[in-house]
Amino acid sequence: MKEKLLILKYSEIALKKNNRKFFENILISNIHRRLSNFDYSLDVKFGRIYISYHDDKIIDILKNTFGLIGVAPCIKTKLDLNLLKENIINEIKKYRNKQKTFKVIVKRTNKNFKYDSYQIARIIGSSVLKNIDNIKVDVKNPELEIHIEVRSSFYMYFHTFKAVGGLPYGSSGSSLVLLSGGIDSPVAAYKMAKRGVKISAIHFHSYPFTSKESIDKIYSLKSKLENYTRNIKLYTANILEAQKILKKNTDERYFTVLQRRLMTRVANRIAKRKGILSITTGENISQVASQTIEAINCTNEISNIPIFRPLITDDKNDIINISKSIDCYDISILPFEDCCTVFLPNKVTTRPKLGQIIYQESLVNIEELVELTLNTIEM
Amino acid sequence: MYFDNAASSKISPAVINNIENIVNNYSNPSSFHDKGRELRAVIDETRDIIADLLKIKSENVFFTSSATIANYISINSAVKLNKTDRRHIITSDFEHDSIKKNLIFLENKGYKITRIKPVKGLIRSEDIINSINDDTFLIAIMRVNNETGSINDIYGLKDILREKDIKFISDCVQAFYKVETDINKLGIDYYIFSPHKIGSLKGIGVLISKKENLTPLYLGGNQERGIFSGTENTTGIIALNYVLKDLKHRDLTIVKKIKTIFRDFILKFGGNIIEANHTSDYILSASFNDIPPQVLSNIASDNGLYISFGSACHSKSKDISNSFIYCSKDLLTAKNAFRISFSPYNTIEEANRAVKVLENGVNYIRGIL
Repeated sequence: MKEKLLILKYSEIALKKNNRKFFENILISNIHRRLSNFDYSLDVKFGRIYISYHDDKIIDILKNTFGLIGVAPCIKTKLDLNLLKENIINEIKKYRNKQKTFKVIVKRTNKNFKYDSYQIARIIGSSVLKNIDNIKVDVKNPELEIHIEVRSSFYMYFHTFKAVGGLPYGSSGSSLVLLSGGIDSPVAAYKMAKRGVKISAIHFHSYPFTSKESIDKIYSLKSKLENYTRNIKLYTANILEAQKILKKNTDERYFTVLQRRLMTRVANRIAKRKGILSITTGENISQVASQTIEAINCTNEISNIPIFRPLITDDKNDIINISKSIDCYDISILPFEDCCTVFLPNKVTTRPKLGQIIYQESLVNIEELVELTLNTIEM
Repeated sequence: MYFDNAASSKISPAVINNIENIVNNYSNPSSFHDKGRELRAVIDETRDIIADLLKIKSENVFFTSSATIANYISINSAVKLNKTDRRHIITSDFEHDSIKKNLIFLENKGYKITRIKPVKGLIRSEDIINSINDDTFLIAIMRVNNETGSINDIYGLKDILREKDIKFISDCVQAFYKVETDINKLGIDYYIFSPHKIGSLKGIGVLISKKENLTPLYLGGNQERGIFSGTENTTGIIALNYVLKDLKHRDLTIVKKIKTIFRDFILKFGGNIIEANHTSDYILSASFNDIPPQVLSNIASDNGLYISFGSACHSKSKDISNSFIYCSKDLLTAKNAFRISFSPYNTIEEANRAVKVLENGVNYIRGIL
């Protein structure tokens, strides 16, 4: 079987100067890990990654690899222009689908090759015109682009599959995502991961007041996210005991914010224990009562590490579109209760003041609530 | 502590104790050698036992692969064999999906469907009779509702059905061996039941009907007189044979005693019993106004008690089952409904333990909410 070859194109890593090697190394080790079930070989030359492979499934995996912006299946030919011409003509005949115009784009990294880019383009162009029917040159809007890279061999490709972009997973610190099971938080996790951030997750539930299915759902979401990341460590915490105490002792209007602060405290503890550098939430301004800026101020205030909210200004529709594109949507909309809704109060303050919240917390032993919740953690 | 027997019964000890005889049936009952004929004899004997029990002819017992497909064969046969231009079907408003959805399909093809609403939780024969018109050719009404256990009154229809040549399908899945149902007296043309609801194995259904009232869905090796071709589920049939023989000697009154234990508990703890005037001893539906059934279910299940709970917590009224709504005094009662269902293989001791689990669960939830 003829070996197939891919050229992988980097995203903005290429723009990094001193750190380029750092990002590139992480990207390459991520690719090795993601392709570990396949037969392939990887070669890095002149700032490009080449992969020779057999199974086309590899292309989809690479398209979903953070740090890559494009994946181009290509043909490698030794530095022999006649051979190149022949290969190109054959490939056009196979690949062409009614395209009537073309352009040859040459990139010559190998300065020892006897022809320059312009000459190569002309030679190939005239050969195409001579051998292919009904096709002409259009340098502005060609329907068919013939890319030729001149290195120690020729590399020729027509089409580049768009890849997800972003930075290599694990190249930009770490974050603990508050994963609720709704539509937003998995998207927030995805966006952070796409920026290279290593993700862990914590899920709060109120079993038996919430169902086992709702926890299974979190595991399903985690495994969808893992299509893009490495294994995600998931912590599940039962917040029921703390909810009981809050419900008995505090004003129900503040319940949501008090609960949110409790979750933030617990997340801070886990992050500290595990050396995680930040917290991520799917909060979105004013989507629900606990997500007004006033309420966010109240939760933000007790965190010792930054809380990132990558969806803060996104429109719901945009969030849904990402959720669908990462295959989480159908899971997220499954109708299991998450813990936020069980003790839903009748009246909610949408604009809590910090003073009020601190007073409410003085009515219970907050440290005890944090400990009670931490003691339930499973992973 | 298993009390979800209406969904699928605890397996009869007669099956467990004879499992090797039941499973070790490798031959094909259509083969003419001794091993095949042996198996054919067991199938025929099982047919005879059922026929005896229901006072019908053995040749009218057809084994299928589930009650669902038996229901479908019945509907399909009644429709295909209806050579008149009558297009009206009468059914109840709380049938099992295997009847309900197939009738909706026919409705979309132009058939007229009358859905009789239960009065005080059950269908009355007078309402069925009043719905009959010259266009009516089929009636499909279950004998016992699977969620509330209501026993529908379907007596007194036979004469008018015969007079007007109307076929009668009755899904008797929750009635067989549980609620007295006289096929001849009732004039049922298609009687369907499911062995796994009485302690036998899954993967088999039984259809009682006359051959002339049936038409196959597909063609094949002519097993079951051509009505349900395909090698017989001999394992399921032998198991059923054992179960039926065992039930003959079993004390079935225990079911009522067990039901009373649960009933008393629910009333003592301020719950509502959801029931019609005539209700099966095998099913008890109830609810507590202040207890989300899903939460009670989780606690019960964690303590080894398995009971069936309605739909998910946040279901809106449209998601609540019709059966519960028709039997309940208000929507909240229906919304919080759960079902406890019994088998003669349950024990009093098991029921007492189960009630203790429910009591702890109810107290725990009340302590929080």
